[in-house]
Amino acid sequence: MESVISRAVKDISREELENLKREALKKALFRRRATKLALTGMNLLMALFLLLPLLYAVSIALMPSSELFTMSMNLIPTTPTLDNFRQAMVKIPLTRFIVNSFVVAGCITAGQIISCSLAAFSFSFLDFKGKNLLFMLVMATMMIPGEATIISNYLTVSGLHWLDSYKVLIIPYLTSAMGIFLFRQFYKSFPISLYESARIDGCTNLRFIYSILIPLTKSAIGAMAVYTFINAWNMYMWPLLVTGSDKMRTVQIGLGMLDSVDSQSISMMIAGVVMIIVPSISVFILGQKQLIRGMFSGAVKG
Amino acid sequence: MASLSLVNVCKTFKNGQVAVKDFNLDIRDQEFLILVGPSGCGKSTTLRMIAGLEEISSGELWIDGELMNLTDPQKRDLSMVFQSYALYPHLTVYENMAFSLRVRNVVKTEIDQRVRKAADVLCISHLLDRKPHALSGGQKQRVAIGSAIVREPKAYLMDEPLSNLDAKLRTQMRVELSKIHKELGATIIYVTHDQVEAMTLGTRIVVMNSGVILQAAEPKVLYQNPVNKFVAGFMGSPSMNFIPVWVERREDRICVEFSKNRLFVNEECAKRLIDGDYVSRRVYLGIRPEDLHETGLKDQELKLNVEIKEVLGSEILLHGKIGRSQVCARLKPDFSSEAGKEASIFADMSRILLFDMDTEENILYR
Repeated sequence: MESVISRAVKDISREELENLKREALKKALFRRRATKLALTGMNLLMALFLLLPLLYAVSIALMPSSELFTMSMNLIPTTPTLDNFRQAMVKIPLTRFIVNSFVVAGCITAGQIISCSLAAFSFSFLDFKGKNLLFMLVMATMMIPGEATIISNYLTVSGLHWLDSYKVLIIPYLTSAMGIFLFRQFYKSFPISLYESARIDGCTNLRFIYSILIPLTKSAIGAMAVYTFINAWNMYMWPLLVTGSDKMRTVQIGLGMLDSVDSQSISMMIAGVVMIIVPSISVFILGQKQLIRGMFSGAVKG
Repeated sequence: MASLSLVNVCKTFKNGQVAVKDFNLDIRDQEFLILVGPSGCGKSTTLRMIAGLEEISSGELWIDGELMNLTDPQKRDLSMVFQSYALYPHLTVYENMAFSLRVRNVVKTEIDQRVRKAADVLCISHLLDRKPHALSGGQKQRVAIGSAIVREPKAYLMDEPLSNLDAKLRTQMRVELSKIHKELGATIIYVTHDQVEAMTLGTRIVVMNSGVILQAAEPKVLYQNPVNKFVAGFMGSPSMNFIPVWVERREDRICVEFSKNRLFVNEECAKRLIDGDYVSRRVYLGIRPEDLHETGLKDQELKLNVEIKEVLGSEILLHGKIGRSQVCARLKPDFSSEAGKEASIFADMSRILLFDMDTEENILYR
């Protein structure tokens, strides 16, 4: 049977057909490019709108105070200066605070990844009595707000003479129910036959974790690391309560110290903020691929 | 290689579901044993108990004279090929095959030698640097088998290893597996629900249903002399036709009657029916599709109302009814018949089986 296309082609010449094809392609290409351009423009506008507070903060940090307190709207500094950063560094030992925050956040991240992944491994791969009950108990701890236990925790650590030390900042946060839950969810989508195969191949549980599980759940670990690091970096209440000396303060407390009544300078404070958000933004930018992949792993088949 | 014994093995899951009941079996050295049965019959559970992946609720598992009930899977010296292949996706084919040897701290030169030898046997030497995602289903299957054979374990356990492959590749891999079994002289315990795989691969087949062994025998014996109606129906494709018939004595001979059809049985069969007091009682007549022929004696003739005709090239399958019973006949391709018409076919009475109506046991079981 003659097809519709071959019948239509018969009625026009070859050249006409070529022209028609070329025109149709041109139109389609124009439509595609126009859509892409419009979308990119909208995305750029939205990004600018969302990033405006951050960009304005950077701008203020580079602005002398005289430029900030004027009647005109100064979005961009006319005479950019690093004085605010210098002042912030002099006013408080910010370098020490940043180092402290790095040590604390780094140790908490490492500790949580190790403890949570091991706990989640037991809940996902091992079979023992009361497994579900224990898991529910762990999950139940998520229902208690941190503020409710902060006094009793304070009394415990002060009883142990841990106050004003790295120990007190790190040890209470070495594991988290949320971390265990997240890892368990990742492991649930892990094929159990790989674990069984590894066991028959002669693997112990630890060898399996080290040789198979960790390399195959890198994205989950990355996501967890970024999430934990940022949370630990932003901790405020606990470090404020358990540290007293400048030696042990973290950056978030340091930032509060810039806001004293006798030396209030908005531009200096913003310079401090810019300095301390740089590490957490860097961690996010470096780990965002892992974070997104980890957060959505198992959401779609692939 | 090794011999295994399962003595009164039972498996009851936590929810009270009984998966395997009183399983007794001796698996001889170098045997290719097939566990076959419908889904949920307990065959995979049995295999997993042998591997150590499931605890044995009661009973004993002996491997080479050693009680293995409480031995960890890694210490049983068995290897297993999974249905999903279970290849480590982040390791290359070489690393996958070498993994079990590395875990056991085998020296590098020996690992290399064994992996390359296994790769040669399985014709996957050119794939050693690839990762599993870059392999086809058949290649993955070979790698999985390769990972199992490099260890030279006491026995190989295979859990439906070919079920993810397409029909052509499955046939090809069946031949390869048979070759490997002969070359290695291995003890293989193989789980499948595909009776064609069971018949072609096994030196012995164990048919299971509802957690119990129904029959364990060589493929030919199982096919020709099934213990009951379930085994007879399970083995063979298309499966055996079962027709409810009356056993009667006519003209001083024993015959079976159904829907105006009468078929006289042979002497041995008649004797069994008389001895079992089946005369004037109903039994199931079992006849395989290939035992219904295009020609034969007049007293073996049956009228089949053809419903569907399947042309397979080398043969045709006629599906239809004789009376109220659904029947399938496998005939030569030149047999003339059409759907909706009546066809004369002839039963080979020397090949029939008869089953008790109540117990479904084979009355002619030898």
